[in-house]
Amino acid sequence: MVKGYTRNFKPLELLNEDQVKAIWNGTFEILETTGVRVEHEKALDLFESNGCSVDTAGKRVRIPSWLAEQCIGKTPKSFLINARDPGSSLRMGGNRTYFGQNASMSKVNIDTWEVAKSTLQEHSDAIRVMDALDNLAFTLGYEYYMDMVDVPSVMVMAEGVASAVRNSTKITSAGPSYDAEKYSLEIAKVAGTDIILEEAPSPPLTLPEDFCEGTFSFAEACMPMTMVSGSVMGGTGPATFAGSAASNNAEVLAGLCLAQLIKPGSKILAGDFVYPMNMGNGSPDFGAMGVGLHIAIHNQLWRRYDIPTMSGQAAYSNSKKIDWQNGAEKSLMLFASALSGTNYLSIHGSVFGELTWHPVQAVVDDEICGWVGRFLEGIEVNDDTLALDLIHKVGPVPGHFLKTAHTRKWWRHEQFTPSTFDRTSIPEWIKRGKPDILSHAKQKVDRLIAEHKPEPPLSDDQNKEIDEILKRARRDYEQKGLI
Amino acid sequence: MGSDTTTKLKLAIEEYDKESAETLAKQAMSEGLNPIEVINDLISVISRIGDDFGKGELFLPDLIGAADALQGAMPVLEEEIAKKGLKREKVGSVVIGTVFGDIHNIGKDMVGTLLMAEGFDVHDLGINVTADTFIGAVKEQNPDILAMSSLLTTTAYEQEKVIKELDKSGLRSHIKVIVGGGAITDDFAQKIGADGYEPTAVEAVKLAKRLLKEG
Repeated sequence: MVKGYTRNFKPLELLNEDQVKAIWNGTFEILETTGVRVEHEKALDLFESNGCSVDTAGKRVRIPSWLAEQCIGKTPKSFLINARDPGSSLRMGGNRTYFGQNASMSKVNIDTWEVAKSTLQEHSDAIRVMDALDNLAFTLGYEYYMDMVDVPSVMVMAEGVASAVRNSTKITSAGPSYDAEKYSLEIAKVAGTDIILEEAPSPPLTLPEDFCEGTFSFAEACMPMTMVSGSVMGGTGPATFAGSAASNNAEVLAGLCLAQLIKPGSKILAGDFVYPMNMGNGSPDFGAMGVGLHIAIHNQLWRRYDIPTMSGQAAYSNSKKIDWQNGAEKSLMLFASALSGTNYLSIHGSVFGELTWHPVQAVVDDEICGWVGRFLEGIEVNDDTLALDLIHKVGPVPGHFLKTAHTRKWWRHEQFTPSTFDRTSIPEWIKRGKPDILSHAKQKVDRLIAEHKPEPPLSDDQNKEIDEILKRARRDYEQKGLI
Repeated sequence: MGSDTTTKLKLAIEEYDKESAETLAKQAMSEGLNPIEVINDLISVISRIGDDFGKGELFLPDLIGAADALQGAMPVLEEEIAKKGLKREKVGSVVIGTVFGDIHNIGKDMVGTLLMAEGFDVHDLGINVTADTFIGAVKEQNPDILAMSSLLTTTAYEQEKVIKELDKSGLRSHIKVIVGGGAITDDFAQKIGADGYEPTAVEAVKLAKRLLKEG
């Protein structure tokens, strides 16, 4: 059964009601006045026929606020994402939080911490590790190990999604590029699972062709989509949090409108993927404080309409290693994101930003998720948990609670017990050869790769059908000269 | 072995149910089962739980709970052994306590409970135990092992004091001394002339068994 956590207290809120209104009013003004560039003919026609002002030559669409609000109204506040095994399905929305795999392009060599090439086998092994992790609710089909030596780059998405559904029962995601979303949909259908499309408008204020094409495919197939515009504060978006939130909202909302106009009721997760720019070198500042602050604002803004949210960048680090900085940045970010109410939160596996990834990191991240997830659930107060009778019975020293049935009944439920974080005493730790978190996590990864299998597996027939889809995809790409 | 009541009794230990353990032990005796065989069966359950604890699959409340449940059955079974004039091989006997000035109870209790579960006779002197009380108990009980706990660096030297007193009284060579607690290290244990130290309760029980074997 996939684990989601229910937040049992008020979410962290940074904005007052006037500030929330001001940012939303700004968002509507951006869409109505400057509008968005839409690089897709069918999408331009659809916006125009629904009352938008469209400049076809300039590909500019201005969305009136009444239409934007109508589209928000058509977006479900909660929905089920059905996995092939019902225990792995996700219920999106409300005060539920799911943790899952984070995107990063390449494998990292965990001895040298340099970027390394990967293989399809390593991709599949990693997915099996993800399948086994307690606090991981969703995998990524394609957004890690994207430079596999034995897969042509145009096939990475389709092969990645096939690897994900074959090696895990958990929900996975696809991306729109060179029709990869269409092959991904076919593969998901054979596997009997829903699949999420990770949709990314191009900041500032642009819906590119691939984005629109993917939105049509997934909306028509009634499959969920994340709308994630990855602007960089001070680069592709304003340097201020309020301005960046308004322009990011406009990009996400434009995508949401397209989906609702294609098919009312389309399942959308309003995503945040905004970083400050690292003004030292121009790259996204992955582990920055500003990411956490932006996510908190984003979550509060979309809670106004009760639309489920995702944080794609909720737990990245600038460190190149699994080390102190990595743990600090990822944990702080995850905590800010979870406390402020993200529903779909990516963390597992990324080492340095969106660039390097490793399953050992995912094992470490899973511990952080267990910690934060349990924190989200808060506490129960009733006669049994308050334990007054027991406190009276045990009395002062030398009384203690270790032998009591109450302790046995409650301690596991009340606490989160990590499986790889070191919790030994100093003498025990010395006796065991001074192990650190990395050696524990490596052992766990090795064991899971050797032993873990998804339950239930796909049938032989399903595997054959997926093979056929991959063959066809490869043939299509060859004919187009892409392989 | 094989008896329905023994199976239920083992289950009561696995479920940490001290009351049922006592009731079922009485039932087993009224059915005429051999108390020594029953005890050995129950100790095998505790050992298995101890193994799972060592692997990190079970935790202190489980281990202590099972050992505590065993204490529900033990008096009944031992009474029957005495009544029938049988003789059970005891693993050994231990006097245990937390040293003077220190009122930490839990670690000492864990070790005591686990020693009992493994078949030791345990005389628990409690907490804040003076050197005189330790020496008196050693004279009176003549145990195989003296086990002392100290959680504070300020009270750790009480252990040294007790060992010196044992020396003075000529008792030291008759007994093995083991020490433990948060304030103790291997080096410290050696320095004060103890026979052994382990950082965890489970290891402490193994240490006690090892020392007895060595004689």
